[in-house]
Amino acid sequence: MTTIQSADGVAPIHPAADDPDALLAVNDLKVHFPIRRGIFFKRQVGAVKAVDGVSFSVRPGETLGLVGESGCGKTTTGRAITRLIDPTSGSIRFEGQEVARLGRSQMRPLRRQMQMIFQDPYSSLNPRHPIGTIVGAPFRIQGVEPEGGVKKAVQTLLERVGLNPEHYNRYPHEFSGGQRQRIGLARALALQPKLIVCDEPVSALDVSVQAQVVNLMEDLQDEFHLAYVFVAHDLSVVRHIADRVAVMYLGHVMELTDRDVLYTEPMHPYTHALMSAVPVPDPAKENRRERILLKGDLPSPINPPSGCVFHTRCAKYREVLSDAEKERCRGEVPVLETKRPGHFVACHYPEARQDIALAEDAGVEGETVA
Amino acid sequence: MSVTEAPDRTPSPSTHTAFLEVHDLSVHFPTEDGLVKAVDGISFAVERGETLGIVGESGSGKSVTSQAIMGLHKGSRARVSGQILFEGRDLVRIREEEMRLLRGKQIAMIFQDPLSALHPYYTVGNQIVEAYRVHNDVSKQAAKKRTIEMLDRVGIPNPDSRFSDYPHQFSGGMRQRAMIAMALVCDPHLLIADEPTTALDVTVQAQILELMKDLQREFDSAIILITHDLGVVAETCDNVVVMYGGQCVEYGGVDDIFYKPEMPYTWGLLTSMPRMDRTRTERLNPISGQPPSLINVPSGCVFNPRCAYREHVPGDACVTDHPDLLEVVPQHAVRCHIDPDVRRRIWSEQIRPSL
Ligand SMILES: Nc1ncnc2c1ncn2[C@@H]1O[C@H](COP(=O)(O)OP(=O)(O)O)[C@@H](O)[C@H]1O
Ligand SMILES: Nc1ncnc2c1ncn2[C@@H]1O[C@H](COP(=O)(O)OP(=O)(O)O)[C@@H](O)[C@H]1O
Ligand code: SF4
Ligand SMILES: [Mg+2]
Ligand SMILES: [Mg+2]
Repeated sequence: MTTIQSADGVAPIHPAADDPDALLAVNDLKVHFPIRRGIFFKRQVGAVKAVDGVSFSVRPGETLGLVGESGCGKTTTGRAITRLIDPTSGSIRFEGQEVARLGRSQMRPLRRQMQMIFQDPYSSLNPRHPIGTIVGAPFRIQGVEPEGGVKKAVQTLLERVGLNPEHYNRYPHEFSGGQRQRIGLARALALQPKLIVCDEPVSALDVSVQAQVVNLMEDLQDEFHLAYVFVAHDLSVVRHIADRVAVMYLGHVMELTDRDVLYTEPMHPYTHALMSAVPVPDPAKENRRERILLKGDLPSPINPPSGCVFHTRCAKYREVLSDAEKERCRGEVPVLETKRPGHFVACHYPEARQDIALAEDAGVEGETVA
Repeated sequence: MSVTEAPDRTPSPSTHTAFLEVHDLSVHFPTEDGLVKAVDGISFAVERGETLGIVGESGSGKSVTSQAIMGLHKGSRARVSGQILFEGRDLVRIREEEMRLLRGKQIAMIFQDPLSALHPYYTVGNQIVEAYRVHNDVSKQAAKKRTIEMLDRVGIPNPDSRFSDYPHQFSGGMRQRAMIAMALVCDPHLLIADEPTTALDVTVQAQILELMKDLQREFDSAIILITHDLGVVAETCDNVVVMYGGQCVEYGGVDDIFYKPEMPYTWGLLTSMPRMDRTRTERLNPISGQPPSLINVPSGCVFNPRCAYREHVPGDACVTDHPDLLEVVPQHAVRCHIDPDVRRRIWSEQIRPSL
């Protein structure tokens, strides 16, 4: 491990965040929400450890997928990166500059570079403003006068995202879900950012419209050399769009590697469970698949399990490991380590499995009903 | 109505009536803006022990179909026509009082949002006890025992103590289980599940689907599973209705729908979804445009404004003539003007290799 000058002084930098070419490098990020009690004097009685030591990097033009069950800290991570909330500790470097502890006004110039879009574009679009005003807002807020004027710039943007520029004066409610996501994209693109954090941008869309928006996002990425942090719970969509993927569980990154590696040889038992649960649109494959069912509910991030936070639901722990090995899982926190080049896994007993994602065509031909 | 007087080609065996048969069901809502043809002439059949999937995008009429089977449009402005034959009776025609006896007892329903079925001010246990006692003349004690058995059966840990919890004290997955326990407490023969796992994580979805399959084996119930997820259909269904714009555009066994689909809309659904189980494609292949308005339903084929295969139909039949739902082989019916041989060629030469 190398060391860098972080805001806290000299802190070790995690290999997953250690990339000289990174546009964004997140090192040991923690976001804890305090729980306060008391009538006169609020005192902190605990904390929701929403994000608890997350490290990764994103290169210019790259898409990093962030997947995991709801409540694992994906949104909180995205909001911390874009500084919509304050991190509790850790480092967030954007183009080499530490931004984790910048104040509002210091962040302002950086807002041009980093944007965020949301699952429900409707709730982030002011219903009382026509879309021209909404898409043009970043110019006004940042005091930027685009060439040819705001109106022309907005119309160009609308056209670029596949909307009719003449609809400049229409209101958000006049658009469908897919079109609203396009409006959100147009607004995010206005100031030509280098990074867009996308929080479940296509999760609420029907599959045919979802494909339209995914294709658009890929085109925009190529054209403007955008980097995406793409938060989603749909593993199939993430496989399509991401170059690398981080799998999160209870505030931790459990596995982080290239998309093709993750979907052909996932190593973490949690990734195995998550992937095996995704139903695939092929009845014959569905019939012969092994599904690794997780037992019980997600534990609370207020009081996460000791050792490996996943051990209470881990099939490997439950069914395979010896008592001595189990003790290690309960007692020792597995660090996110390089198990193979570029393949980070936080598990004491990882195992590369090729039978999980079925990402191959093998056997399909023979099984097709003739 | 227009040209829909076509003979009813329901894929139903002529020798016996199925457990549930739906014939040419339509549900139209008169509104200020015009007549909403939410469901327009759909037909299907389900046997006990079988699962029928109804798949389609939002607004295609899936929920309205299930509400019609539950008799929930009775007494509203909705115009319901066609037949819903269930255990010798036509549910379209029976009165609300009769329907009420069936509902919850022979036919039960679960929803996407369990909080729409569970009252926040009553304990989960007492709500299930009440649901049981409406249809069964038993003591509170006996109903409580039965409820705890059901909670246990659907995988709720410590059912004795969870009996007295309120819905908000349950996690999302646990609430879904509690709702399933409530739906199944009277041993219904038909269970309608409207997007039962859409709001859940895939890990919890896998648990719930597994549970539903186990319970189906145990009680030999018929299930109608409404979903927009083709993966869920492939995993759980025996037969499938593909709905678009309120109409059934393709009906068939699950293998036919996934390995030999013939309707361009079904193709579009399959090509637009990214798949985890195939070689990754560089680009997704969406269906262009937006779903239709159900007030101004396109003339001709309801899918024609978005269809990329109209060139295979001579003249402008796609725009002028409403295609019938025609059986191509027994138990596989398609609503499309393209010649069946041409459709099969397009599927095997163009679409299938691109998936
Ligand atoms: N403002 C907040 N105050 C307290 N807890 C929060 C807050 N925001 C999120 N959380 C909690 O943090 C955890 C992670 O949430 P989130 O980042 O939204 O997860 P995800 O996006 O992966 O579903 C959850 O347990 C959530 O309840
Ligand atoms: N009570 C009603 N009055 C008027 N229109 C309705 C009513 N209920 C549903 N609809 C319309 O019927 C169509 C089908 O709805 P629905 O069955 O809920 O679709 P989905 O396939 O998403 O379940 C939608 O356009 C919806 O707006
Ligand atoms: S009938 Fe015509 S418009 Fe409709 S799906 Fe078939 S080819 Fe397309
Ligand atoms: Mg979230
Ligand atoms: Mg619905």
